[in-house]
Amino acid sequence: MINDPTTFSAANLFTSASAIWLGGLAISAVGREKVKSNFLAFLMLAGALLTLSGAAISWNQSIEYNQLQYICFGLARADSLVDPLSVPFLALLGLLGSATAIASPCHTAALNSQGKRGHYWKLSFIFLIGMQQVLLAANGIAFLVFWEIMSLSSAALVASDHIRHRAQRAAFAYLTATRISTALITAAFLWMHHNTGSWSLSAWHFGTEQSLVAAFFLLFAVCTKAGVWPMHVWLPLAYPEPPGPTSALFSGLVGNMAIFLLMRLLLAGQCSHLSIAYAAIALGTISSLWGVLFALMERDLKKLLAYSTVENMGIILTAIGVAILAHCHNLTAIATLAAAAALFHTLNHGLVKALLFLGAASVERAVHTRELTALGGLAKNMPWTMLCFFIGSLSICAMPPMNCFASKWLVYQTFFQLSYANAPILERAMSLAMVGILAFVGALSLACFTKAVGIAFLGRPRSNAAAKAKESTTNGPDGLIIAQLLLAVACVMIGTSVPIALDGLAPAVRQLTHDQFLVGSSLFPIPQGQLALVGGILVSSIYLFVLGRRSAEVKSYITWDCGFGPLSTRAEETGSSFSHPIGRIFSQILQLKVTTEISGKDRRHFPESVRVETFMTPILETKLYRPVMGIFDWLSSSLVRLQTGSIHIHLLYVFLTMVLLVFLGTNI
Amino acid sequence: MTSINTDAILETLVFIAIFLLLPPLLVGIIRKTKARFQNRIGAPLLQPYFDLLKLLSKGETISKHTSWIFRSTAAINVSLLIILAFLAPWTSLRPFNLGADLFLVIYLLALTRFFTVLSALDAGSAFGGFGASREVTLALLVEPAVILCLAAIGSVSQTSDLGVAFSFNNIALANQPGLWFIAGCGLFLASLVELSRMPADDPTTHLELTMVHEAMILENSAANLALVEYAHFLKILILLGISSQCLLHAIPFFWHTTELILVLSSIVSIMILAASIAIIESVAVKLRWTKLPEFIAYSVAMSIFCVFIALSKNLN
Repeated sequence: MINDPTTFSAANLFTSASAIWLGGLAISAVGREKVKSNFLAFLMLAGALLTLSGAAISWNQSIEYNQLQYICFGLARADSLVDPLSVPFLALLGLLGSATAIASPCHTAALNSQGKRGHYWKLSFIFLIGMQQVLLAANGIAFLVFWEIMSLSSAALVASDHIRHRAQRAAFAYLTATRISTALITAAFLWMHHNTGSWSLSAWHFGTEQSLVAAFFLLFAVCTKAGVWPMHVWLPLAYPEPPGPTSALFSGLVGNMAIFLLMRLLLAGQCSHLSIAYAAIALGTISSLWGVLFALMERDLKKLLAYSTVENMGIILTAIGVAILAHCHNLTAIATLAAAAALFHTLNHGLVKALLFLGAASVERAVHTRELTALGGLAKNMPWTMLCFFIGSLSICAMPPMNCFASKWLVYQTFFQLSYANAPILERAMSLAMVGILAFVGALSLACFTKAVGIAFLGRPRSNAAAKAKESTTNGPDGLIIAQLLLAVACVMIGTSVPIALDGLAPAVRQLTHDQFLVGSSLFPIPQGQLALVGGILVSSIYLFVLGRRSAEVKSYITWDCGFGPLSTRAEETGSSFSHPIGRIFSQILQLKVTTEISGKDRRHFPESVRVETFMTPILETKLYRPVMGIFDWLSSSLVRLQTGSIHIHLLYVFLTMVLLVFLGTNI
Repeated sequence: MTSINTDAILETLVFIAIFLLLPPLLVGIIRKTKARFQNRIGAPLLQPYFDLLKLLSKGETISKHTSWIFRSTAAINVSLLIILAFLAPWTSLRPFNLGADLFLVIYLLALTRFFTVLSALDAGSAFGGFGASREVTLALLVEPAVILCLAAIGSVSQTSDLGVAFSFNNIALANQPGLWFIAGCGLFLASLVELSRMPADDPTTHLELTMVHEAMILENSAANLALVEYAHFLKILILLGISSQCLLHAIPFFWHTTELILVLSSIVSIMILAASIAIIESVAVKLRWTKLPEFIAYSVAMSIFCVFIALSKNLN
């Protein structure tokens, strides 16, 4: 089976990464009191680096191995497959795993109970193993097993702070979503197995008539798991909950795993159902608009980031939809562009979102709140966090020269090129409309992230806690800060060397589109690195010759107060007032209501007290999910009547079931 | 061989001279025209230059609450707009072919906005926050119009490189006066909003709760303010330049004329647009904040017309 030396070493690297994580799990489970958290973090880091190097040496070839052959899940063995598509995701897992490992010791040091520490380490290791094996799974059964391990361990991570009502609710919502998605995936897998007679993921082709149902199941499963409208409601609840460092893994990879599944089966499986393409584009579009709009209105820093994930998952889904659409029309160039855009944006978004979540975790650690109304002015006390969060925000708004600009540009280019391709007029009209919608979403996300950076880090502190915030537990930058710096550097490096990154992704894109003549670096012709260099030179020369020319004459003074005396921090713009003008434009969707109450004798000119309140009712939750939940509640309370507790009745049920089975057995 | 080189060098020098020196003059033209409309003599045409020079020699005051964002925004914005001036097709004189990608141009403009908004929030004053909040709202409404106008043009010429789409050798766009005209008008209306001119924002007031751009730069002073102003002037040049180029393409005469006339007329047309901004500001009133989406809807509607024309043009 294993004869090529590269195959052997790559397989070994992945297996030993898993083994090391398993060892970490065992040590954290057994040797509780004595083991230092630094040792466990070292094990986690070692596993992540092994995964990264395994991805590096197998980046352009397909390797099939079964080192875990002694594990058999009844229907199929735990075969592993490393193909070009899983390599970039494995690399992302390695990178984010390293960041989590670096950030972990200072997180666990702050936890007061031994139980919580054990919980953290055990679940993180299981989560990592689950994700790695999901990426490596070669057949449907192994995939489902590890998918469940990943889902359940991440649900347990969401519930880490389970004493709080908020965490309970989040874990419950997340569990519901993962149950639905697993059920749908299982259904799709069974359907495909029935069609093809094989469990191997690569044997399934979605070009046939019979595969349509399975493809729809998969699409909805992925939408549920990735948090695409209207199945995204769990996402803003669950994403903020996992403990600091693991929130990087959670936010950067959970959604991406779902997208990975979609790419592996529908794109690589040559799905040619137009209806799937339309559904993906429609859901993706609504999701991107909805996500960014709610992100903008959000007052909680981590929830804001979570809604922004909804937006980006939507954009990725539209790109996948166009890839399928172009495949149906035999437009190879556009299919390639769309697949590359979807893949690159998935990876970039994972990286950036992990960076931003680590930044939010750092803010939460320093200020003990995520409410934007209590933050402000953190740039002074937390310069490193601010810098990293700023870089992350630039990137997620797709600003040149960052990495997300390149991937967003590819998305734009996909739609733009479709607008003059040989496609039906309606699809071309749709693609130009999408260019406009993407611009709109882009402007909204700019508003959203200028709000996040501006309100949290700039201005004056809005609370005492924010004024006294301390960035790190040690004198220098500690693990959490170093992890952020690592990811920020990765963002900038990918952004300034996009052609190299795209060359690295080219094998994966070739696998997705079967376009053998693809040259990765030719997809993105803009010399971002050079532009950044020119920009840097210009900025520094302006700084030297104009601004810093007579530095002696610069004096520091208070912010201008109109001569009324010192400004209260309550005069500052808050998060909700910043986004209020936009909220008013979309008040129908947001259900935004403002009530103003002015009281006092001569209340028009000399009010004694003014009270302004804004309310937002989440429309989807109240109009769609609450009735559905009501039906479920009613059904379950009706079913309770069957369960009387009397043994006679239960014996009757057993008897009736037996009669029914005998009847069915003899008559069918 | 040498003569070609000298030509290229000469073109480059002229180009750099135009984009470094023209922007303040445009503002001078706007102010002078407005003054004449109000029956005043007004400040000299070159007053913006004098203002910039004076600002450069003053001492700077910085709020103690600010971070590095405030300090570096002006420098970053000027650099970005200089890069944009080399990329974007705001004049028909383009000595370099750097590949002006449509989406790159839009996102570089968005990047300047990102920094401006953050620097407005940096000092923690109520004005800066108000201005920033309004700026992002306006940007959100205008952005789709701008990108759709340009994308429609790009779609007809089947390239996202604006340099190619805006060259007068592009046969695909030669007989499309309607598309060019509507795109030009749409872009001009959008630039009024983007440049914080009259129906959207009043550039002459300070301390009004209606203002956008002036509120954001309230904390800037001296050299920093000079850079901010200069960046804004450059933005006027680039945005008006792009819309004037669209309008020039709509006139068949310019497709068959010499390079020199083209260059001269593109500069003159930018000045004419600047003067028409002044005329609009003299005869129109500033719209109420809540009425602005309706104004921007005109621009969006024009961009949608452009899209329809582009789609029908490529009908196969």
